[in-house]
Amino acid sequence: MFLTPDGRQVARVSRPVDHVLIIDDELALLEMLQTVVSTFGYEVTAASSVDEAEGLLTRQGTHTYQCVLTDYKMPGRNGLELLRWLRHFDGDLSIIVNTGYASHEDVSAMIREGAVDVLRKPVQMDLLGQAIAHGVRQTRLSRRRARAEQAVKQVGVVQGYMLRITGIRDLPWVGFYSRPMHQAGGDFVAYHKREGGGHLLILADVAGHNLDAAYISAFFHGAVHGMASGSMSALDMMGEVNTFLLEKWNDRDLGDTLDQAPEASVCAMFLEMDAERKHLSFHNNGLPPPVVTCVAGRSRVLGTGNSPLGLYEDPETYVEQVDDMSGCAILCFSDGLEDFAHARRVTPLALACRLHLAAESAREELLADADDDIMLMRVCMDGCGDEDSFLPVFMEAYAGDRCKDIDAIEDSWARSISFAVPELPDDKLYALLITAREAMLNALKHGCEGSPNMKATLHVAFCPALKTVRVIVEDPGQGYFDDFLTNPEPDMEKERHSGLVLIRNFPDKIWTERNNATVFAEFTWI
Amino acid sequence: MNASIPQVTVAGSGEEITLVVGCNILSTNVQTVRQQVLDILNDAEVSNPDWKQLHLDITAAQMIDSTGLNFLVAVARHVKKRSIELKISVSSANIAKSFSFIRLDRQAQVVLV
Repeated sequence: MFLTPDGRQVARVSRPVDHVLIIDDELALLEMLQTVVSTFGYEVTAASSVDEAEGLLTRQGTHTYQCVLTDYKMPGRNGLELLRWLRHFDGDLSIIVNTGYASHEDVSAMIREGAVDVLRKPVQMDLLGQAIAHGVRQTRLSRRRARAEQAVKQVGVVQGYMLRITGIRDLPWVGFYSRPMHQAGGDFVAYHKREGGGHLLILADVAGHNLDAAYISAFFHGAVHGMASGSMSALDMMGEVNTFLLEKWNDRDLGDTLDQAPEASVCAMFLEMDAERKHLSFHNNGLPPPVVTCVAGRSRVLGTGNSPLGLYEDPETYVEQVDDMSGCAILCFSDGLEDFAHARRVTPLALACRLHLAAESAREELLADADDDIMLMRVCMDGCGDEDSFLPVFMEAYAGDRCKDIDAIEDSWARSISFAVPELPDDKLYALLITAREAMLNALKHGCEGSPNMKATLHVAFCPALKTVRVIVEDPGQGYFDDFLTNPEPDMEKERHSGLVLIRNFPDKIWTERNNATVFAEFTWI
Repeated sequence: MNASIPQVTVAGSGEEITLVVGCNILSTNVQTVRQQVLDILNDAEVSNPDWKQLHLDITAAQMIDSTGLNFLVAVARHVKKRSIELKISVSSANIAKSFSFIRLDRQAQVVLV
């Protein structure tokens, strides 16, 4: 039996007894406190000075105790010093300071240093009991939270290790960045060397972004690893995963919450390449379509996303075979990156470009507010290196009747381009915007004849090595016969629209294709 | 850059009339700017026969596109016919560069402030 703070007698329970350390230099008071606190049902150890208490805590370990009750004013060192010493070693152990002399400043200092309560002598028994019970609860809670945090951190460590052993970071032709919302997440990538020297890259994004997503993701990659080792085709592997999710994992009634496990779906992308990385066999279920950028800086979206695996019997996997990908780079990203880019009012390509080029610390800063897992991968195909290759920054097609929206359109260019290439000097940004604006207006008015059914496209790409931004404006029209834009000594007698004068003069380099229906302009800085 | 609401005001009188254009001059707002400037110039011709110089203060502009440039060239032609000198103040080196590309700097005194 023991006595509760409110005077009731309660039978001891069999769980471990919480241990309280009491420190006071007045031995009579120390003995009295020891007796009283014992009657509350705690195991009590007494110390008559800070030095003695530190000795006990050091020898026995702070985890021996669930609460510390200390006097404030004692010969030698005081309760505040004990508090500071203890915080250095164990931030979770609750300390209650019991004082008859402390000023307001002293009390404030104790609270600042982390005391859970400050009692005034002579302390009432019920208040003492409540304070210790609260302190013990706080200690248990803090320690449980610390253990959970450590466990979560460990999942992240394991996922990081799994990423390392996939070998993805050892491939010089792959740039990969992943930032889970928590310590670990559902976005993951794996690499498999195929028979005959081919390469298989698999990106997956499991629904949800909690630790359960990381677990399902690991399960998915483990399963696929086994299938890939057996030389199964990408389409068959996706089919197997879809069937497993449908027939096993998600095969239950909507109301069946017996095990609380969420329904699972997996967005997955398979990039299968030959040994030389010229040919690409591309499969996608649910991930945002990647963007392929060619040597010239022109980009195109690769297919469509379709639905994730695990939802329908026919997953309708998007499949595309590309025979010659020489010189191209493929930029893949998860929907978390897309969403975060939209929240920042920039294009996913602009965010991807910035992230790809940023240092690790800058990436963390950029994504501090992201509320989803973010994954980015850039795959350089044969002949595409970092030396002179262009990263896509912007790509958008506009209907011929959009001239009236040109200000808003230009705003979106300015936001995304300056975000993606923060080092772009102001005068170059201006030159780029005015050139793109004039070229786009020409393309919409003339190339598309103002028709809502025809579209002109703007591509913007950045080559960090050359410190060059390339702009491409193209329309479906026939172009026009005039070498004014490209001839170093054009016929100046001919009257021309001043838009062409700006397009000719602002870029550092300009050339055209298809009778000026495609205009290339470059902006370079030192 | 958004085309801000057109805002043309007169800030001078006598021999020099100063027109302050407080916005970008772009294809999307040039018609309104043109009308406001034209109204002021027509008033000036009637009310101020001693008028000798027009000062266009467009230091608030961050961007002037080709349509805006064409409009400024038209203003330059307009005042030249009336033997009125034109001075244009800009605050953007990029805009000054545009003037030089379309040779507006030969039609007017361009001041970069």
